[in-house]
Amino acid sequence: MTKPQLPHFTAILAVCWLALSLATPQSARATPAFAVQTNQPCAACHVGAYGPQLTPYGRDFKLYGYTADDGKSHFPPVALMGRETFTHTKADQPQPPGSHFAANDNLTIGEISLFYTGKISDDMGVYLEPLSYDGTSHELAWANSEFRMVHEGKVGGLDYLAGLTVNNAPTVSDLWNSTNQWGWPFDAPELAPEPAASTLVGDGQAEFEVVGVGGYSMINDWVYLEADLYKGLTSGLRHAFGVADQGVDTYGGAMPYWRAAIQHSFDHDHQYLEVGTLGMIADVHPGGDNSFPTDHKSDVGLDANYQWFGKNDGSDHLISAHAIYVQENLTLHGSQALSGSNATDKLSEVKANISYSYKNTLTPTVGLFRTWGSDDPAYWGTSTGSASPNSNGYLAELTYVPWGKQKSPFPGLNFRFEFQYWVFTRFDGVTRNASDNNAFFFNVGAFIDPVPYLTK
Amino acid sequence: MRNTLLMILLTSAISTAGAAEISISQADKQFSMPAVTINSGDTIVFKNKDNVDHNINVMSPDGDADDKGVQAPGDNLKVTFSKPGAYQVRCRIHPRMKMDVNVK
Repeated sequence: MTKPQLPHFTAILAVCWLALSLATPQSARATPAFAVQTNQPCAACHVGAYGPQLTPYGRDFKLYGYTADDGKSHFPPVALMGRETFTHTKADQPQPPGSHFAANDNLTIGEISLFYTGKISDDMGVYLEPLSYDGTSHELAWANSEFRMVHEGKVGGLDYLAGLTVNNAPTVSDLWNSTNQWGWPFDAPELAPEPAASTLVGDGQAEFEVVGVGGYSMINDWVYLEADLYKGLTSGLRHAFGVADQGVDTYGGAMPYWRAAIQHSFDHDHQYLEVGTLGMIADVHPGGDNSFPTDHKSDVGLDANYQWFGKNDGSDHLISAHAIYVQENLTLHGSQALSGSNATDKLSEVKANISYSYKNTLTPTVGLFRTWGSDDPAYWGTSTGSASPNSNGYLAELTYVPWGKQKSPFPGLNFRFEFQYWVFTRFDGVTRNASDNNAFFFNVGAFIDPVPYLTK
Repeated sequence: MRNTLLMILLTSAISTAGAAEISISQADKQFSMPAVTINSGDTIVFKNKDNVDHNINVMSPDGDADDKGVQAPGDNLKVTFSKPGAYQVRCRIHPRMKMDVNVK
């Protein structure tokens, strides 16, 4: 299938140039549509003044269905995001990571995306990313999207907030940055090698290939419960939404997803802790081949999030830490018949990171990741030829976000400059030469709500 | 003349006693009291002591919403409650920030 393509590098620059040429310095706030809607700077909702890490207010804004606003109309609530990336790996890759790329040192558009995000009514709101151009695959598809409806009430002296979510990826509805869709690492080099093995709920295998409906509730600001039911997209819908349709796993039947968490703010709201669990069950057609039995995946995870806020809600100093552990049990009837894999496998993974944000401008982060599981040469398809799916590594990151704070000069416009270095101590079951996959990644992102400029 | 002055002073005292003014602070994105009981005709002065905007929205006992607009840091906003009933006051920008006002 031929996918629409955009001219290299020029679109992101055009967006930035348009914004810079039209903007006039003023004491204002607002990055994209949510910031305009709430009359708040990016830093009100996001650690480091740029998504996706959420502050307590950001979690509330999402929990309440994206409905908080300043009482004014800001229609249409649209935003544009672009990313330009550079990737260098320690050793050249055996094959270029794509037909348009070299074996090393690739500069490319990472992404150009259109968002429609805003309040629909006092109890309904949306976060939609209907069009996202992937500069590495040169494909246009939908991405994280969610509709929410909320209701607040009181039962037996307990406050509750109950909501409905319709979305296109497990964990896109989640409030915490430990889980996959909004989890760490928040960006990663698409043009560097990545370990072959991943879990369903821990790595977003089903993202954008499903549609789910679910209910959630926050009880007395302590207990969060959510249950969703997902269904794989039909071939026609995959085509319509730009999702790959040939030679990829597809999903059969209903896929239940569940989430439970306990949260609490303490130390006069200077500290916050969440501990939770999540899980998902899915039947998978390996390679999309419906003529074989399905594989069965069952994931269970544990997660924790901690935040410490200095004075002024952490606007000067903020520490944020996230951790998740996921275990996946696989029953591989389909893969065994197709490729001679084991009848059953297990895969586990852990990811943990901690960041410190200084004035929501400089945010260094360090983290580790580890994946381990049963040996199965036919199933994992490792790049090294190893039967083991095990990979270990570390990531150090520094982001610089100049704006998105209370007195930033350009309303509705923000940038992020991100530097990452990935270190692998084991890659696809092999420790020798694992460091060949170490990668330096530079990523500059721009986010703009164009409406205030176009309506001036 | 003396009686008139006395009448004026008395009327003023009754008026003051009948229409009190109560201060509620908005700090750390919370109202200083979760609930308050006042008399019909009383006024609440909402004082924004945060460094962020707020936007008071008053929900009447009939379910009608009265949006008081954006309230900048340092601004005071006076709201007079003239009819008895149970009101809910909340900030549109910060949905967790809410209080009940019971007007007798």
